[in-house]
Formats: sequence, C-alpha cells, structure tokens
Amino acid sequence: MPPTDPRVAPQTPASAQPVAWAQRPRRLSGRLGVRGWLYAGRYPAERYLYILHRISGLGLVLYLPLHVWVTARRLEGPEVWEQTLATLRHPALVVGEFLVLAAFVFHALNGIRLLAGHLGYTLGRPGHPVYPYPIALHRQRPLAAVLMALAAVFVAVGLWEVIVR
Amino acid sequence: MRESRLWALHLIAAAALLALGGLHMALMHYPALLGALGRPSEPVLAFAAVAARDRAALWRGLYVLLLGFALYHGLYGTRGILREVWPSPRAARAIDVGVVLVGLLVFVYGVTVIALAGMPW
Repeated sequence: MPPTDPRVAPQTPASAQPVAWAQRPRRLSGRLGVRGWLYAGRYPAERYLYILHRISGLGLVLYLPLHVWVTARRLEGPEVWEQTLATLRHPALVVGEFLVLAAFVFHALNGIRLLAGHLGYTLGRPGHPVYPYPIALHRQRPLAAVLMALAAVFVAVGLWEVIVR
Repeated sequence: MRESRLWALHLIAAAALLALGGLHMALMHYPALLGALGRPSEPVLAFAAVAARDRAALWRGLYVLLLGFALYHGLYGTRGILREVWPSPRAARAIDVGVVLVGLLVFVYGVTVIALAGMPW
C-alpha cells in the first residue's frame, strides 16, 4: 500500500457523498414523509407513541383556532352563548369534544416522557449499546408504561364526564 | 433566532402547557372528579361564570399565556412536520412565513376577544 501524504485531505468515497434531494434512491420513498411515519416496521412501542404524538398534536393545533372562535361567541351576549352551548351538545360535537380531551391527555402525558428524555433524565450514563439495552428496559419502558396507564385512566374518566354523565 | 433557541422555547412552552392546559382541562372537563376531590361543583360554562372569569385580571392573564404558549408549541411542531414533508429550502421558507402569520393572526384575534370580554360594559 503506497504511503499517504498527510498534506492531502483524504478523499470521501462516492457512496458517502451527500445525495441531492431530487436524486434520492427510489427505495427510500416509502420510508419518508407521512408514509414513513405510519410505517413503524419492527420498531418498539415508543415508535407508535411517536406517531400518536404527532397525530394528536396536529389535531389539537387545528382545533385551537376553532376553540378561540367558538368561545368568542360570549361577546355577543348570554342568549347567543346559550345557543352556542346548545349547538355544542349535538352528539357528534360531544364525541368531538371527547376526542380533543383524549388527544390532550395523551399528548400531555407522552410529552412528559419526551421532556424527561430531552432533559437527559431517562438516558442513563453513556455506555456501549449492548443488547438487551438496560436503560431502555429498566428506565424508559417502565416510565412509558406508567404514563400510558395514567393516560388511560384520565381518558376513561373523561369519557364518563363528557359523554356518559 | 437560532434553531436551538426555538427548540428550547418549544420545551419551555410544553412545560408551561402542562400546568396551564392541565388546569384549564381539569376545570372545564373534569367537574365531577374535582368535586370528588373537594372542590365545590359549579356550572363553569354558565354565562355568569364565564363573565366572572372574564372580569378577573388573573384569568385574563392566564388565558393570554395559555393561548400564546399553545400557539407557539403547536405551530413550532406543525412547522417541523411540514418541513419534513416538503424539505426543499423554498418550501421551508414558505412554511416558516406561513406558521408565523397564522400564529400572529390567531394570537391577535384571541387577545382581542379576551380584552373585549373583560370590558365592564
């Protein structure tokens, strides 16, 4: 093997060159964008929480301007407000209200898990990634299970408060 | 603003929403649960109760904070998702401008409603 000249920058192999977006491999197209989120493949449960987090977040952000507009009806006086509340008691809108509540509960409790991860509380000490991964098994997975159990309880109580009661 | 700072604000807004959004949801949607925990049950959506909250400066302040944090957190998340779907630089700029405009529009409208609802007439 010929000696390398230290003054010359090593050449990056062609396969490692960044690929322009337009020339991305066709086989990746099913794993990117919306289809990429929905395809969890053999990923663990947290991957499904990630998909649900995005769906619930998008639902909540779409609902927010509508909520501001509906609650602004109170500016038109008590009669209009009572009419608005009567409209909101339509069964389809009650189901919608429950879905918003469920989305908020899930998004908030899963968000606690994500915040803990982002702030480093559930990452453990740096180490070699040896399977089965102890931090994921003993710290991250139990936290996810506890938070999702709490979410299930709050959603069940919400179902009773909004629809049954 | 640097992307890391926008991201940090997203996390701060998330933490604030856990408190403010949790309070809002608990008061508006879990009256029986709160009653079981000792809070006197009252019709929170009756016009008199809504108007009383509107006249209280503390509630108006909380509403403005809740709206601001919710819009920032939600639209920053939406921006990230949209930029994944349309990753070209031109689309990214259009998405940035779009979310800022939508955020400002809804925030100004919401704050106007809160201010008008708190007027003494």
